[in-house]
Amino acid sequence: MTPEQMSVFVARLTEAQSALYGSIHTLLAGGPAVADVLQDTNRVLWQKASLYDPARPFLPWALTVARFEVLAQRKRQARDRLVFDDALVAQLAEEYERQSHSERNLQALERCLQKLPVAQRGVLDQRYLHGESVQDIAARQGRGANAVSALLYRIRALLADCMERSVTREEMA
Amino acid sequence: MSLPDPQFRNLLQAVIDGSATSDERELLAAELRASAERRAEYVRQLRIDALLQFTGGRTVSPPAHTPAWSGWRRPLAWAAAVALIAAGVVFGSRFVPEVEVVRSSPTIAAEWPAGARRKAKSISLAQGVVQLRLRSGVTLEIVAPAEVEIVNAMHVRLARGQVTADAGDRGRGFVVETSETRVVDLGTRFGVAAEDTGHTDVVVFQGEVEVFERTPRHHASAPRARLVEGEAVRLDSRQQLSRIMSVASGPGDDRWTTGGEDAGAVIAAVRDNQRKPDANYFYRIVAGGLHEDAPAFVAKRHEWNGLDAAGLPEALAGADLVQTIPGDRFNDALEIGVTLARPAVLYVLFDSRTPTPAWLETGFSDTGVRIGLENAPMLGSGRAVGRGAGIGHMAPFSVWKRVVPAAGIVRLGPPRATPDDNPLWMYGIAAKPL
Repeated sequence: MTPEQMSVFVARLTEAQSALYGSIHTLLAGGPAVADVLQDTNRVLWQKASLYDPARPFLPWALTVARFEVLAQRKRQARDRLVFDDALVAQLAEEYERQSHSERNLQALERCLQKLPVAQRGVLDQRYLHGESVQDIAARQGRGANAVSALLYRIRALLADCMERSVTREEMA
Repeated sequence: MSLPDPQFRNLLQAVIDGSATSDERELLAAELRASAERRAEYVRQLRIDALLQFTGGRTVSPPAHTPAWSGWRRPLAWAAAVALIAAGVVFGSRFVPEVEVVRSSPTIAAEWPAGARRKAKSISLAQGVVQLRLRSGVTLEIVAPAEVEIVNAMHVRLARGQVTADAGDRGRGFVVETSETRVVDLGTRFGVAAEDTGHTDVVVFQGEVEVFERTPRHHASAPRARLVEGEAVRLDSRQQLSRIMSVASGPGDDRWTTGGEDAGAVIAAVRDNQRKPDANYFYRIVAGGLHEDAPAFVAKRHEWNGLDAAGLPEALAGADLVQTIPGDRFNDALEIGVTLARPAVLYVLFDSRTPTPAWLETGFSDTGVRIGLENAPMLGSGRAVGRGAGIGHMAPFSVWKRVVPAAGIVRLGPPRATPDDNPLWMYGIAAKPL
């Protein structure tokens, strides 16, 4: 690989990080192993860098590697964490790829975050910027944990709708 | 689809929030296997959850957190990029709290260099003082020996030792938890100390906090106490709450003590005879605290100053100061006991326009010296307190003194001679070693 090819590869790999993180998070249903599997995925992609054809889209290839790393992780994991079987992982991976067709997810997310009302941004900050548990947020606001959970669920649904519209508009333009 | 919509949503929420049991996870898996529609909904939620985790729910590339991206397209910059990816820095899980070192005491500066950022889950400090800034903007000063767990940027757990938190406006809701209590900040600067003997001290230097039992029976349970600026309480291991009478410190807030141990001041402790369950004000003992613009009272902006440009008299400058409780000025039952750690000259600073009460007249002598109590402008006035000697609206206070040849307790009385007097201000207390 020439230095120029290498630098294109690194740029694509960097760009793909959020989508890879999302895919692994989805296929493992969250949990503490997500960061480790992302590292494994990055390592494998790096080892296979010379096989990458710059003329082809990067993300589908990277997502396939991530899916196999998830399966490998599941074999290592204790039995009580085994939730999704191979067939379900394959179905979810396909659905994830369908929803995550753009590599510009983060820009779309940012635009959509800016459209949220201040109060909803506040709850997102507490959960995702400060990393507070749903129970802590609920205790502070003097409401039930279920109500906070439901609010976060609604906000994520709003963001998903908004991002879908935003990406579709971009593709039509 | 076997589950009704609301039940599916609850299941999905539990998985996302990390509270799902293994049975619930199995149930979700079965539901997902059975329905493409459910799978689409699941992916929608998990994907956004992941993106929000990835970005911290903020912008694409938080400026303080990510390395410069722009340089990466240069040839050979890939080596650095790969190192960062391998080290896990690029995606850095947002749920491992990151702290920034603001400052640290010289003995531990090598281990805690100012400006350093690190992921920290638990901090064990054997010596020294370190001040950290959390991602929430809250600064946390930790005094050794201390064991602190950073649960997240809005929540720390104190197993042992002393922390002082400056939560500011952005940190409203910041929680400090010990084995006895949870202290929830309402926009403030406050300190918490967890003692080995099993009690927790809470001191409010500014603003307001709520003190809860550590494990409330239900989330919306009422606070045990709501403390405002100038109040301090102790919670023992049986959750009994008592007022802390005095808090001693150096001129800053960083090292303070409630235990009467030697904070370097000649005044070891101040106690009074007041027992009001809803008022937990403390006397603030500041070693070497009497200087121009020294705060005169707890929870007020009034200051001690020289009456004119000549400044504070030399005999008083640098004396240990007790910030008294301004609300006590009409309290005719008040008795204050000042414990002196060694022989000292004890000063009482008394409004010279008010008739002298008998306890002062007989126990102390008027030095003839006058200093100023600078009246603080109303908070909403937009005017600041004057800086330096002789500036601002000054009330003349007389300086009374008593030579105390041995360590012990000196008793002071109420601020007015008869109930008809109308003292404008509470008196002040200061001392210098003999």
